Amino acid sequence: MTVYDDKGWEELTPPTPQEVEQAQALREALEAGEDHPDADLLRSLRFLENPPPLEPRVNEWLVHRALHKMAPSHRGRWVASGVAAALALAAGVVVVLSTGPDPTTAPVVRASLVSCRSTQSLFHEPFDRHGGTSSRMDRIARDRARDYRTNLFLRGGVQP
Amino acid sequence: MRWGSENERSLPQTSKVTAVTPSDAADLLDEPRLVQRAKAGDRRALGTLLSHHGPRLYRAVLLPRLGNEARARDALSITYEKAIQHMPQYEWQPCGIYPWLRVIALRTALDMLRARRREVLFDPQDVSRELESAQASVSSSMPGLDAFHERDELDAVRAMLHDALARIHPRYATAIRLRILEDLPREQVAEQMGVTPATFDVLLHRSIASLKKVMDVRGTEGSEP
Repeated sequence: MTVYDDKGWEELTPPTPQEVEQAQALREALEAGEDHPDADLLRSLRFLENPPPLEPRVNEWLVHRALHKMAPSHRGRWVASGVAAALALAAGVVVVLSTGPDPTTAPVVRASLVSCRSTQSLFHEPFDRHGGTSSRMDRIARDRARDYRTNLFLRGGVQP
Repeated sequence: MRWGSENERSLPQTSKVTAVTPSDAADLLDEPRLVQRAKAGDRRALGTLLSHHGPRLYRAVLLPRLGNEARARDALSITYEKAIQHMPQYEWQPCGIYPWLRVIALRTALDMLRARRREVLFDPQDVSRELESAQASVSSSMPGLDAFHERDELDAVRAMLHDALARIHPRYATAIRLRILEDLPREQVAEQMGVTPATFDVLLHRSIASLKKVMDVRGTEGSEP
């Protein structure tokens, strides 16, 4: 049975190929959390039915920022820039803390970080005389990028 | 993959919504005294007032109307700045400071809705009407307390959603209710509705198209004098 002859349509008109294509795009956007006008509208409905609360930390930061933003400045523009930079840094910290794992519930990761080491183990066969250098560099870059991601996860308390 | 799983963790149960009234707030905060201090330039008092009322402004006013968490946080931030800026002009009312803050939040939401293409159930005219009503409440000496229950505020926006769903084909409404509002997996909803997952995708696609038509009709109705 295809989507076109599903008995579930009952009194509704069977879909056109274009409709099937659009429906597929909507499904993918919903599942991937991507921007899509219809997916955004559907997501917004959840905030009408049951809006989640604001995280207290975020609220405190917004209050703090508003109070500082509206404070009279007597020390020149550079001070304001410094405050803005500090707040931006604090925002970064808040974002990291609010999206990171809860230290009280997150499992303790005992694995140690991947450390620096020789690239010798990456190569078991000779490379081509022509173009071999690029392949060699690509392999090293790929491997080190993987190490970097692994260390990033481990530091965040996540076992990759 | 369930697209809403991240939100789901932070979603409280409807039954747990607490009703907070201005009198509760006043009891907890000694609000008149805090407002007096805030008007005199006491930043700590101002911070306490904003910290107390902000979460409710976010959850009951901004998030349902803007339909997006990042935009609602931005709107709350602007609301705080405007409240700080206009605090010296605020005059204490028996209903407390929340209705005044709510007017600022609604005005902020209205500005943001007007600046963007429509992608939420609320349209600028809905919010404009609410704003007028809220302003009238603040300017009257003793508005009805019912209007200031968080639970009532949330019920009002839910009613708007349910009204819109009642205007579309029941199968479309069911698709939205199960997949979006109840966040059930696609396959489970499809089974429950007696169709294949691919057919369900088309149903959901049609549901949103149908809902948008209802929204347009509502917008047209609202624009009539």
